[in-house]
Amino acid sequence: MGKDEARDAVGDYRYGFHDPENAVIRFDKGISEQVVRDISALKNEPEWMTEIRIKAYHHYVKRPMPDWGNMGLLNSIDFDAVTYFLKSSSGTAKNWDDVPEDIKNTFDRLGIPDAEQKWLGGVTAQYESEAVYHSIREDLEDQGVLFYDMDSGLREHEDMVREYFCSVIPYSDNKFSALNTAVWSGGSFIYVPKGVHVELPVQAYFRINSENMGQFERTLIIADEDSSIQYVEGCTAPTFSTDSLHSAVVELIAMKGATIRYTTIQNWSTNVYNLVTKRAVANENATIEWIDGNIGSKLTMKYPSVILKGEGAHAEVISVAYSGEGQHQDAGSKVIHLAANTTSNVLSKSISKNGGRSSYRGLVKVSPKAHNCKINVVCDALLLDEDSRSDTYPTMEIANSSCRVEHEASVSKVSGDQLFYLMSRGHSEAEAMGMIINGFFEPFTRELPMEYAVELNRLLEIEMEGAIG
Amino acid sequence: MNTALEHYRSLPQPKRSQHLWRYSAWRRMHPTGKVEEVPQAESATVLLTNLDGSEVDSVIELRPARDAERRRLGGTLAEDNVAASYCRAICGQESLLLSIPESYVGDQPLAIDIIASGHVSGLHLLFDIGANAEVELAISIRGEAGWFGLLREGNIGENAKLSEFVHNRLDHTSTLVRCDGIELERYGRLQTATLSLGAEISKSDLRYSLAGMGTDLGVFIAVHGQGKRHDDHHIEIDHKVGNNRSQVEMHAACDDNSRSIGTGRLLIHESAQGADAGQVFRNLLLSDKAKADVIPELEVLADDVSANHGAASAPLDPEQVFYLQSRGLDTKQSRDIIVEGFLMDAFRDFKSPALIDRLRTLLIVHLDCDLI
Repeated sequence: MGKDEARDAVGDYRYGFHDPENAVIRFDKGISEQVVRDISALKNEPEWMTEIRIKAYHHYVKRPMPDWGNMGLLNSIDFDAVTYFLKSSSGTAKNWDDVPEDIKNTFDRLGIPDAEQKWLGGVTAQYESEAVYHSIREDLEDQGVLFYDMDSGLREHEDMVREYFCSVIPYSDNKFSALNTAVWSGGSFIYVPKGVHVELPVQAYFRINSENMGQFERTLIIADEDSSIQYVEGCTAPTFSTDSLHSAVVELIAMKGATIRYTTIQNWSTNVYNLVTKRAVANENATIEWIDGNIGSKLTMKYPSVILKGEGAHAEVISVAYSGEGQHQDAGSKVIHLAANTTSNVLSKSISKNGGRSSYRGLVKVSPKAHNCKINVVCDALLLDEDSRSDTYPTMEIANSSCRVEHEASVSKVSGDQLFYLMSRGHSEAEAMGMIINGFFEPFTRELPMEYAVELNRLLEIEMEGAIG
Repeated sequence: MNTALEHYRSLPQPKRSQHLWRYSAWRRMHPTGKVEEVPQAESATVLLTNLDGSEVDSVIELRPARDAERRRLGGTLAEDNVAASYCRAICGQESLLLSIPESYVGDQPLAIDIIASGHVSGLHLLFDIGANAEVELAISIRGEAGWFGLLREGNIGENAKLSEFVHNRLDHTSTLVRCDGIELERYGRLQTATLSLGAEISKSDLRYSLAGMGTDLGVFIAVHGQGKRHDDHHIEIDHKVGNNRSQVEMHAACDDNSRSIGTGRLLIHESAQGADAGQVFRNLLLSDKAKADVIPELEVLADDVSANHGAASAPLDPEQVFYLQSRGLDTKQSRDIIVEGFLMDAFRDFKSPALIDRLRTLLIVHLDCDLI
């Protein structure tokens, strides 16, 4: 395939390439109790996990689709056309040389091994349903940090997984958490011991390669007392004419005084439904930070949540969304204040262009016992043309008289005054627009590791091409 | 069986996932809780005078609406609106029409006194404000009805201006269900204020359609929650064409076990370029058991607009209380003066001195404080 043909095939989406499928194991399309049992048997899981999977499957079948959000797109998902398990490699390698050549090439093109050497503390690379590569720096291992792909985590530390699995997000939480619990495969399991600070971020990279694929990774991060960790995840997929499904569940537990920062750069191709449940529990004086970037996918429904359970706990959510043609980014956050003196900051920014739709959907809930808590929520949206759309649906439920809640939101277009000012300084209209957009997203990009920030700005530049005129 | 009744019974029951019904289920708002039941309703007594008690100008009419008028003015709320449909069903074919002729400019505000009594009571009130007319109106809802349904529908004509307030002082054991559906024609202006003090359970579904360009809408709401009051306001504004302005300001002071709910939905259509829309919800929580819920929604489909919303909840500021006490006021007086100031602040952009004076007096009497 020549360059031009490749460009025609994938459009502006630079990760839209795909490799020939070389599956070691591929299940037939569709889901049934037998499929769920087969996945569990294949992984040789303990009985309790199989039982949870089966219960979750039955709940998934019974539970209706959500009757809110973009029901048109949700109801167009053909769950029977999805492949629920596909294994591309015979095992999880600890060395890139042991990864099958075609898969290694994919991750090379995504820049993962290079990034690992330069600035990461550990990497999990998931291809289709399972991790194909996994490594952690020796010094972290020596400090007792556990970093596994989730399947290995279950094998090696069953008791800990059993204690925390589904403890933050029960399978009955929603239809997609039930689906994930039934057919989960891959994801990360991390435990950071008391007092250990993981200075370099650890990263997981999720790649879908096949058509009509379903990826259902499961991530569980436990930061013990006074520890800290930063976890970064990225995701891409090839561009196909048919749709794929990504439905992850992420559970974070921050013990007393711990800090977890979870950064996501979601850049799925625009044929992926991204229906994800992410929730964290923050105990006394713990901090949870969700840094969430949504650039790709056809439909994203993702509302990273924090339950502030311990006194003095803090939540920080910064999210940005870009919606282009045919995309709907339905994102937001939920913060539930259960304890006194808890604080939270939510900052959401979105840009809609070429008929794209961005929605902010948020919840702030203050329980009667959450005295003296402080909450600040800000949502800003830019509309770049008259075909696009922006919605905000914030919900605030306040049941304590001593708390202070502030919320503000605005929707507007790029200011003509700002454009004029920059152009009067010699910038072209396109450059001026690019600077304004980068400035608009700056509160998000400044929280990213440098390499990610540069990459995100590049991605935005590509997406914003042609935004003028 | 009347067609409105048949229509109501044909509607599906609203789901809690709709923000309109999230905190006040229709079953709870219904007079009997059995949603299929439509009991016999008593008509409310309605009196029209000038605000000073004198007789109104003879050109102003408050009379039973004719079928043609009901058809013309009575369809502003969507067919699938359950509460409005229920109110239509209990009122049968009886509607009252307030008709203000074209180019009429009133020299003093009008007053409509609505007295609701009996187990279930209802009123379907239609407005027809003629082109270029300017009128001020004070509406008072009182009485001891167990359940009162007020459906208001109407039209603000071209370049007409209506400034009104609705003062809810129903008995503290009553339930009030109020539905407004008002359409503004080109350059039409509507300022509508609500002072919600009465009824133990109150649900207001207020909808405004900005159908003509250059329209200007202000919705101002002050709620005082005491005892077990449950007060739910939903404000929906539809910017259909360009260069319209809308403003929502809702302030709720919640005491005791009361709960205030404010849900707003601002919809700016693709064709409504140049719209300027804002909504602000503020809550003052006065007791540990009071609750306040807010959902200010924006749905924007046009790019050349200014749309924003804000919401805030906070307790009484102890510094303000201390300041007032240092001037010789006791704790209750200090608290009342802060509540009065907070609630009246919702009306700061309501440009009608006569109505504002009346609102302030009503609020002070309600707070039973020595502020005058």
